[in-house]
This record gives sequence, structure tokens and C-alpha cells, in this order.
Amino acid sequence: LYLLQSSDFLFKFLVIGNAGTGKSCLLHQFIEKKFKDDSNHTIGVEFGSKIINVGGKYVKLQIWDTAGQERFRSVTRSYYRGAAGALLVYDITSRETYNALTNWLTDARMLASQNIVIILCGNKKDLDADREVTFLEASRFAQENELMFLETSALTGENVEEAFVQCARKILNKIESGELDPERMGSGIQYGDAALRQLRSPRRAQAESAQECGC
Amino acid sequence: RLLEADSKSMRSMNGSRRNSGSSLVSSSSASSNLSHLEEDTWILWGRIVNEWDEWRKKKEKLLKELIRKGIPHHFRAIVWQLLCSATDMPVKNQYSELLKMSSPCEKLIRRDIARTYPEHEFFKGQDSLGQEVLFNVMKAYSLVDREVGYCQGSAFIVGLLLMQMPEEEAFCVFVRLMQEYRLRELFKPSMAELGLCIYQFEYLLQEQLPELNIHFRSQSFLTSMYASSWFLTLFLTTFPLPVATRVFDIFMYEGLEIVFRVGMALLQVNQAELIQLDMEGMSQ
Repeated sequence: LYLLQSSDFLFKFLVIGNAGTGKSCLLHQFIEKKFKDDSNHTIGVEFGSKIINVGGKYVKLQIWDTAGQERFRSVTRSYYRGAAGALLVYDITSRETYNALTNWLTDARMLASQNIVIILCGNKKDLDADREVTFLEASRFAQENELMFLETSALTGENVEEAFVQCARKILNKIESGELDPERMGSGIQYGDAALRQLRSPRRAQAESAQECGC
Repeated sequence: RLLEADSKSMRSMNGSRRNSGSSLVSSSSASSNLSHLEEDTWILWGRIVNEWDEWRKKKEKLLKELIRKGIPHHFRAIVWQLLCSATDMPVKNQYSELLKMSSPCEKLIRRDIARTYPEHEFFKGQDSLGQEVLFNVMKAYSLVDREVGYCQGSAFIVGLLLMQMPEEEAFCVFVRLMQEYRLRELFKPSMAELGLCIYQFEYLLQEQLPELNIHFRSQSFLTSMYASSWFLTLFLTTFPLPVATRVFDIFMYEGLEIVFRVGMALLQVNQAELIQLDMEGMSQ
């Protein structure tokens, strides 16, 4: 038996970007805290989930990791709907993957929820010697397109957790400020089990949260 | 019967997604303490190969049955070639010329080579023979079929062929599979054929396993989410290699229909469990 962690929210996340930028490795590093260098390339879509603590709230991220080749877009586009957040990944050692960002961005904004929060990830930060895209250039692109931005390394783990957490935090902030309404269809946000209990019976919430790990 | 046998062997290997460096011993062929039976099987398959045309024309039913039971490991290379008529293909003579040319897909292909069966002994390591021949065959194909070029997923199929036969032969078999087994349609840039397969599979599901279909729908669990890779890699990224190779044996004889059969069986066997799970549980 394992302890069931209850969560306040559930966010649907996408990981998108060109083939070979390290999308699956970022996901694996985030979930397992390890670099996986011996996995198959992704065909179609794969999944992962993790509960993180953001400012005292437990958020469950349900992450959809997609195939990167151009022609797979016709398949993966159907998974965009209702995503609350996305990691848009390019490879700092490949200008080609950077140049493709606009297309990915258009798809995400058009097909996911309108308010999707996107963080741009310049991955393979550890390969600085082979860099083709500067930090400055990418951060300008991020600013122009209202994206958050981090350079990450799925190899060393640098900024990987941060990327997911920052994206989740921004979504939480938007919920708190009322800019995002979790109850709206297609927001990509659901209440987690803990929050649902509170909504159902506010008075009993305290008693229940004391035993939230019982399974 | 076949589907039951397959799902049983699948269950027994449950968990391990891919046996690294697995030998491709047919999982259902005679085990070691039945060596005389194994010998009989070899003699039989030797005869089949020698009298191929006759078997193909007059003993279709028996041949189909034998293939469903699994082609013995040592006969796979030749039987696969015979099944798709890949012996004596003119394109084979072009192969060495193709390798000297350069392909616009090279970069794309290169990117996936190390990410195709990375745990398998033959493909391990940057300078391994496996990676080199896999690259060669993918590149050669991208040159003879510019429309398809290179599509992710296809390298798993070529990789499996290369575990059984030399590169020229693997190339010829792959060309045949693309032309004659609907694979070319699946891998075309529009991927419209994949959409069709998914649609057909969904329809089957609705007809055969209506309860499960309703459950999938209620959880927004789309058919393409789990079945895309079944079609594009013929279960090579789903099952452990020995099981996937058995499915591939049948694919070589019966075509893409086997993906529908095995996929449906897989869902049927696990139906009770799947119905208890939410979207996330099912995806895992």
C-alpha cells in the first residue's frame, strides 16, 4: 500500500516542440529525478503525472508528452484541448527547433484553452559549447509572445522542476485573481479530491484534511 | 485461440516493457525438454521453405495455422522474405548506389537512430553496427520514396528486420511492406490512413466491447491516444520483443488486420480492470 496524496487542483499540461528536443527526457527527469538516455522516441503520445506543492496548495499535473515530428501534428493536435499549461521545448543547440516555435505556439493558442499558460524551455543547457540560440534572443521571443522562459537541462536536472512549478504557479495565480475560472468548460483545470471535499462540506473540511493520507 | 495464447504470453511478461538484448526465440515453439519436437518443427519448416510455391498455393490454410503458432527463429529471415515476395527485387541492386547519395531526411533520421531500441544489444552504442545499418536502410528508403521520406515509427519496423537479416534484405522487405501492407499509406505526411485505422478500430470497439467504449468516452480517453503506436509500430513499442515478433510473424502473412485483432483482444482481456480506472490510470 502506498499513501494517496490528495490534491487541490488537477492541471492538464502539454509538452510540445520539435523532434529530438528532449521532451520525454524533461518529463522523465521531472517525475523520476533521473536522466533517461535509453528510451525509444515517442510515437503518438505518452503520459505522466505528479503532485507538486505550490505555495501550500497541492496541484496534480497530468502531463501529455507528444511526438515531435511535423506529420504527427495531425494526430497530437487532438490532445491539446483543455490544456491549462504547456512546456514549449526547443534545443539550444539547434536553430531549426527554435525557428519552429511560432508554429507550435499558434497551434497551442488556437487548440488548447485560450488562457493556456506556456513556458518556453531552451533545453540541453548543458551543451553550451554547441549553442546555436542565445539566451538573450530566446528571452526576447518569450517576452514578445508573453511566455515565461527558462533554459533547462534534462541531463543535469537544472531548472526542470522549476519549469513545471513556475507554470503551475502562474495558473494558480490566475485562478486566485479570478482571471481563470476552473469551473469553465475546457479550462484544463479540475478540482482535486481534497478541494472537492471542501466544496461539498466546508464545515467538515478541517476534520478530513487531518486524515488526508488515509487510503 | 491465437489471441488467448498471445495475451497469456503477454501477461507472463507483464511489466517489462522491453527485454533488453532479448533473444528472439519464438515464445511458443517447443521448449528445450521437447527437443525432438523442435527437430520436427525444423524439418517441417525446412520443407516449407524448399517447397514454398506449392505451400503458398495449395496449403494456405495449414501455412496460416503454422505461422500463427510462430515461425521458428532460424527460419524467420527467409520466411518473412518469402511471405512478402522480397526475394529477387530489382531495387536491391540499387541499394549500394543509394547509400552513396545524400537524403534530405538524413538529419531527421539521425536524430532517431540512437532512440530506437536503445536497450537492445545490437543497437547499443554510437558506433554500433546496428545503428549504422539502421541509418543506412532508413536513408535508402527515404531516397526511393520521396513522398514518405522518413516517418517516426518506421525505424522500429526496420530495426526488427535488421535483427533477423542483413541490410539489403531488410531494405527489400521494408520496401515491400510499405508498398503492399498499407504501411506506406500509414506513414505518408498527412497520416490520413492512420486516422482511418483509428476510426475503424473505434467502430470495432463500439461493436465488440460497448461497455468499455462507453467508459472510454466518459473519460475522454481517445482511441488514438493508445492505438496510434499500435498501428505505427505494429506493437513493437508496446510488447516485449519476443511477443511483438510473434505478432509480426502473423502480420507478414495476414497483414494489418492482425493489429485490429490483437488490439481488440488486449482490450477485451483487460476490460474488467480498465473499467475501474480513470483516464490517467488507463493511460499508464
